[in-house]
Amino acid sequence: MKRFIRKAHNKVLYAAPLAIASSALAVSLIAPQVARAQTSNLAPVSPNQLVSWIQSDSPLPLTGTVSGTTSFPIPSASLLNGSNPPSALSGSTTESYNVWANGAGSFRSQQVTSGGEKDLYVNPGSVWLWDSSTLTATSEKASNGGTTASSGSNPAATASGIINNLSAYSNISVSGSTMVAGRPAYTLSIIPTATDSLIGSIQIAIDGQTHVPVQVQIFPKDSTTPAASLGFVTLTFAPQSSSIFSFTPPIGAKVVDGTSTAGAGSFSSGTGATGASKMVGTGFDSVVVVTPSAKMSSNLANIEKSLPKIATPTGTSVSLYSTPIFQAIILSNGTIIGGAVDTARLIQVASGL
Amino acid sequence: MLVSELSLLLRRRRTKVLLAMLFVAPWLMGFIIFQFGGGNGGHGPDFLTMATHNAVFLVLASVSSLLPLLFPLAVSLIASDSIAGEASLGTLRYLLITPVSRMKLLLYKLLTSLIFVVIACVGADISGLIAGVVFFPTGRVVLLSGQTTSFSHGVLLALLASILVAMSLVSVVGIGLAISTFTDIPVGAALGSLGMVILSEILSNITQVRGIWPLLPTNYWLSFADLFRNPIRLDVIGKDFINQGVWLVFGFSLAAARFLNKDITS
Amino acid sequence: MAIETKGLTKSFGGPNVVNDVSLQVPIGSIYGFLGPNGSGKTTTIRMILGLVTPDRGEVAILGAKEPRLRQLQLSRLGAVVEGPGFYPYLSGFDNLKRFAQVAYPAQRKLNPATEKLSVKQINAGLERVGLLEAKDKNFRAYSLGMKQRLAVAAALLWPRELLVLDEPTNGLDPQGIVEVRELLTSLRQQGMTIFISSHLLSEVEITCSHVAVMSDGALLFQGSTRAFRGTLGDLFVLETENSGLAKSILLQLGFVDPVSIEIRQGGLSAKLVTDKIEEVVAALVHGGVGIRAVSRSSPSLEQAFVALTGRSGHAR
Repeated sequence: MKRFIRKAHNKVLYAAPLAIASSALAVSLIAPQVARAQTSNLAPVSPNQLVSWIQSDSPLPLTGTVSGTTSFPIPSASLLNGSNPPSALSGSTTESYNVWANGAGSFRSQQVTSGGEKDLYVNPGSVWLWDSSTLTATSEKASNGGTTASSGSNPAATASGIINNLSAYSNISVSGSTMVAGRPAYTLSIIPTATDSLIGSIQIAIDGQTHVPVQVQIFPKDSTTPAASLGFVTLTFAPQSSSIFSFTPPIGAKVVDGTSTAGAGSFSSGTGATGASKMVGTGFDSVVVVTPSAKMSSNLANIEKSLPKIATPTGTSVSLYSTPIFQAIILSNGTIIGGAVDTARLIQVASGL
Repeated sequence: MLVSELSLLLRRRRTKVLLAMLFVAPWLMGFIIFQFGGGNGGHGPDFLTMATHNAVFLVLASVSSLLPLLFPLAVSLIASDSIAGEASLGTLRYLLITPVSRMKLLLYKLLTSLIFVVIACVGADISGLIAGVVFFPTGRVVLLSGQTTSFSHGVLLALLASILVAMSLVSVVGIGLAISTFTDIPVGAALGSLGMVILSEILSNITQVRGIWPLLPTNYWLSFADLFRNPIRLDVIGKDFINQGVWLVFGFSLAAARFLNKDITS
Repeated sequence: MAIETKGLTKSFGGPNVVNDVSLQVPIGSIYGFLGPNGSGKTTTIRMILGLVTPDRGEVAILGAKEPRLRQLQLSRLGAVVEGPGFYPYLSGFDNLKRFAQVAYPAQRKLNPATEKLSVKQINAGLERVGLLEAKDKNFRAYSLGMKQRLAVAAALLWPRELLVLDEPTNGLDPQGIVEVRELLTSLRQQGMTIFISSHLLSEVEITCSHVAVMSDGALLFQGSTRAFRGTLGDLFVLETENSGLAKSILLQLGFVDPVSIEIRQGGLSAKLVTDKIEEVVAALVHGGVGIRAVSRSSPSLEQAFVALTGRSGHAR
């Protein structure tokens, strides 16, 4: 009649939490290493065809994530403005942007920070930069349909800028095909004709299906790893809601007119807080000469201390700031001469001032 | 039985004090910002800067400053108390010699803690909204993207944010419940689970262990901020959801493995 | 059998706390589970109630037919384990209500006839243990005796067939002990089986029909109270004036001081539980002790207990 109850030690129950813990660990550590092993299979195309696709800037609505990487430190505009200590010079950078284009001249890039964001709104006739940390809206020049302003986060704008400014000084060829954002793409190779350029080649990837430039990579001479790169990580072609692109400075925000002064975060040059600048030379040879403002000079003095000195043929000593694809020298009077060229060219420009 | 668990929890003076603390904090914060102005000291979400501009942002400012410590503290205390507290009072043995099964008791304890989390987050959110309306303007809400949306839509987003914050605390419930089954000292269990949260926050600042960041329970805690972008970003919220879910299931299965085997000697 | 265990053994990482204990508690009995503190009584009770998993051995409660339905047995059983355990911030009434609420869904599932406890029933439960007037007082304000009685009330919340009481009179004043005793007697008359553990023999002696004795984790004796007394032979009271010498001889013979040897003014009175009184008397006389009187009576449980465990029943 009697049955006995026995409660077995169910140590086997611990298998569940163990399995969960180990698989979570495995997924997080292994998943990122799964390589995208795909090959592209594109019809042959001529370099001229690729160039015309880049120049046509064929408008297509799209959204995606763009990653911009430089393998060397860049003196940021904020550094030169004196808002950051010189230590900001160290380290390589990777920036990620969410971008949208509506195919009708509007472009938006969004740089997400923890709990905030920096945005670029490009619309026909207006360009706005938005920074939520300072609640600042800065209006920029709407030149070239905003391509200048958006070149930092828009591979297509960057590519067309390179072709428009540099194709005359380059040997252009089709170097094959690649995969960008999981899509097959042509690659166009742009090799400087100038021998004193630091740049070995610029590789532009053009989406095989839509012919939209999707990646720009700059290789130093004698190097197979890009020193700078800007390209889509994810990319979807689809119509975009107009609400994504509209921007008017909100009530309570600080509004800055950046069309006359060089605003933080923009790549434009001119006169302003940083001082006066002018270009010398053309194409890959071109060199920028900056006569710094008083405020910038004092900041430079700090940076200069950490830079090596080189001697010029005339016997004077200058400070050299050097990266794989960009160099600058600082003269004793504070003038900065910089470009994607070797030091001989910089010194040559200096002696011609 | 859920009613019994909930009323037991809510009748405790300690629970009331915790909730009062969470509900008063936004008022304190609103008053300070009202008196002395905003500013986030260079870190933390930009909501602090924005709080003076709109009532809705006071909610977000207070929630994001409560999130790193006060919310985890409250949730740790409640979740860790669920088994260890009963054990320390000596009531656990009496609960277990009623015909209720251990699994069911554990499930109800889990549910009760989860409901507490929702009450705490939504309550702090609503309290913050009221404080915001008292102290600050109620016009159109500026999103992090610089675009604006209507006040009512902003309020809706703020309520959604509180649900997301509650979701982000689910991992603490899981961890707290698990630790709760390993000790008969509720304060020790609470410290243990709060310690896990702090450890996670420390690890998320050490770049050498970047590889395990996605596993940390606190890694996506600011995901609710993504509601205040245009377009709303769901990818991080989704990751948070999975992260929290995994921690909850892990915590509960560990708690069950321990509790179903446990010799009740308290 | 109301409770039946086979070969229960448990260690918490060290030596066995309970070693090969097989209990048989007949239905309708008041079963006294005796042993000094630390003898393994509470661990045995926790194993019976499913709170502690035995390393070896088996438990059956009320002749369980469903092996996995521990809950089924628990719905027919009320228990007080190692003192009261209640929420200090709830009143006595709310504490009982809390346990009623927790138990109800499972009680109901196992026995569809179960009805939700009404306020009246909870009040009646409180009245049975004399706590009706203090029902709205917070538990933390209760005296130890009140707390103990609330635990008994909680154990009797639902109609029970079996009551397991672990040290139910701990901390009660003599009046309280009498009340508990009366309560147990009346419950037994209603047909309830009562399993009661104690380190105090006196409370068991009057009420119990069956007795088991634990010492150092092992079961030394199990059977009816009458059999318990009987196995040990008779009780002899022996009087002499030569107390010092008598005491040393008795100690040599293995009797225990002071429980079984009592020195009175002007003489020694030894209460000896033995079936070999002739040999004891011969040894005393041989040793030169003059014996004034020897008389025979039934031994108390106390004496039987001491004889079994070698320890005083009051030892803590």
